[in-house]
Amino acid sequence: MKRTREIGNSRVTLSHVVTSDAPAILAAFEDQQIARNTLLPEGTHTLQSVKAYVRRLQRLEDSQNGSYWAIRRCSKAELVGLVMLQYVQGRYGCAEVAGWITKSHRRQGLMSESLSLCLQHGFVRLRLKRISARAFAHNDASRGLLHNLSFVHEATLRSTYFRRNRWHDIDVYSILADEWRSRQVRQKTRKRTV
Amino acid sequence: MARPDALYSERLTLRTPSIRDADQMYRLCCDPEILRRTGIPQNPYLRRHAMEFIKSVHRHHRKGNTWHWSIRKRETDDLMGMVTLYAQRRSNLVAEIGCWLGRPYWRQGHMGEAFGLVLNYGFGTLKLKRIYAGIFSHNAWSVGLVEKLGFVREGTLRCAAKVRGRWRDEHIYAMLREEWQSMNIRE
Repeated sequence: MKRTREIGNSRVTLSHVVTSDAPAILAAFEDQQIARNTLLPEGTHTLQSVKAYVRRLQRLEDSQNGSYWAIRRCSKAELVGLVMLQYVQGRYGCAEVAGWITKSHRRQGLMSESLSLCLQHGFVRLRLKRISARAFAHNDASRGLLHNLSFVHEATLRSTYFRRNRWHDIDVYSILADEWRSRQVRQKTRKRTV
Repeated sequence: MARPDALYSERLTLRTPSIRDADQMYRLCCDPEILRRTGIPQNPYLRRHAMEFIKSVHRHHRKGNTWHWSIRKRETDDLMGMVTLYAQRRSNLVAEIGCWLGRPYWRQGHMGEAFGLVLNYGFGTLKLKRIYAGIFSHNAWSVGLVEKLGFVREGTLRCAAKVRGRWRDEHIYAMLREEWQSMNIRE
């Protein structure tokens, strides 16, 4: 089945995850902050297990369950993060975004730009009505990022995820197609004014 | 995993539906009001949809992460509705509860009674941590039911699903194991 094409802007390119990305993903999985703040499987990761993870993402993409992209700086081929538009349900017009970025590439706006590209893909190309996101209630960085992208906090699911010997709450956010379009108009107007 | 245990209350029996229930299930589910209030996607609802659902019940039970019960009158064994516990993974200890009840049986406390049995089974026998329900915001009757049972509203998902051409918001209600325990102690 046809995979999602590569998308990007002047700073980031979102392209297919390939097996040669496995060492970079393995290094990221060993980052405690990524382990603590994402829903990645717990436990020890090896190059083999990460290659299996990459193959799983490729299979999911082939079955049109979603789009799974490597985030790359435009000038370089190196993977600096992952971003995904997953659980795409065309029938209900909804999907979920998720992602992570390596430590040395945080606070540079790369995740924000990657998620913006994902939203554009979801709302324009797939014509979705709603895109949601989940974040651990303790993950201030992701909650702030979603807020800046105009996501609306809709619910806090109590004790819904067990990790590291305790139950965690998860915040659910979403942005609707109309809200995203208004945001695009506001941003264009702001650029013209500047 | 085998089929879930049969559960009993004073007025109800909850047990795995059988293929013989298809006709009665079809008669109750083709009611437009049932289709409007639930996430049943088929419209019009046909007898073969009821057959397919009942066949899928046995597949789900084999997978071990879903428990379906038919709600029946204890005296006559008439099928009145259905209630389901669904866990994405058995190991998660988190499950969603879903149900419907045929119109002739509304407003008699049957669904509250059935929910009570399933909550006891989920928290008591399956040792779940959390049971939640997604309820369309226009379904005031179900909202009233879960609030009366002590579920807590955790938020509302906007435009969560398109039901018969209209975008519907969905309330998320949940009960945690400790909340169920403290209610049992109070009772």
